Amino acid sequence: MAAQYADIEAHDAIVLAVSADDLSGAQEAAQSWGPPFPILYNPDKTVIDTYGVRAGNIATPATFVIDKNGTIRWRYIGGGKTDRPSPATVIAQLQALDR
Amino acid sequence: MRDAASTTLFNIPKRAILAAALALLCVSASACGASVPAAAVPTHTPAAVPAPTQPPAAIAPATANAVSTQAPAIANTPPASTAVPAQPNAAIAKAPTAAPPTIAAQPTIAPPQAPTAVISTQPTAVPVQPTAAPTQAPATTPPQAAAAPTQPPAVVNTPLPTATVAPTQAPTSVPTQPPPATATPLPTIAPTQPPALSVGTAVNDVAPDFTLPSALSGDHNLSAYRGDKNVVLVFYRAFW
Repeated sequence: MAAQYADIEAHDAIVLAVSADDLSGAQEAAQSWGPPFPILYNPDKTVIDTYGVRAGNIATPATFVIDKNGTIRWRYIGGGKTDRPSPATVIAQLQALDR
Repeated sequence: MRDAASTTLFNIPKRAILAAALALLCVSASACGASVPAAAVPTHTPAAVPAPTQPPAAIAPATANAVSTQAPAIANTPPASTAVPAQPNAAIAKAPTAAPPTIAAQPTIAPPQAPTAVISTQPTAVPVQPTAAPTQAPATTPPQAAAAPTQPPAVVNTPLPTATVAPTQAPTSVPTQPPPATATPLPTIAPTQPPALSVGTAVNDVAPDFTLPSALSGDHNLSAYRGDKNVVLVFYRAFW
């Protein structure tokens, strides 16, 4: 998704990544992976629980497309730890918001 | 001596008798006025005066005779006194005459006053008392009744205002109910809010707001992007 981030930004959108890591894990991921978007950490999993995407001590892979009004326009909840939507799929949903 | 004295004595009584007769004549003939008797009396009296002056020698018998003779004179005086009583009689006649009218007037006044006063006062007092009694009784009764009605009216008035207040409250509550009708416009707002009210994680729900720290750029608040950017929120299981 980091490779197509330019296309995402082209649709006037921003990516927020949330994990159950603590500050040290978030910092390690940010430094090793170096994504163009912010990596937020939620060790107490409050926001993970709020969105209903908790799986034990970690979060289920899930993606929410929220428009500028704060409304959820599309979502994808993965069935496993590697079940993720493609960057093209997300960009397509962003394109749908422009219509 | 006796002859002389007797003559003198006889003479004196004759004069006295004449004087008395003249006096009687004058008295009886009142029309003749005082001129006749007055002239006779003084004339006879001086004549009598010398008489006593003459008998100084026979003072005792002459005096006794004179006294006896004077007594008839005095007896004659009674007629004069009878005339005097005539005055008293006149006075009495006048007195009775005046008295009757006065008495008549007094009785006339007295009766009216007495009856009037008695009748008026008694009746008045009686009526007044009864009146006062009834008045008090009725007055007390009416006042009580009046007070009772008055209090009831007051209570009635009070209830009325209360009733008025009640209606007012009722209307107020009614208008208060209309506001809910105004709340009907709220449903109009609700359509706009449905997204806002339906905070959730489903499609068309408002995404729950949050603020989380980032490893490199500080805190990020989801609502901070509202109206500015579309947001792609991605949950990762972990980066470890």
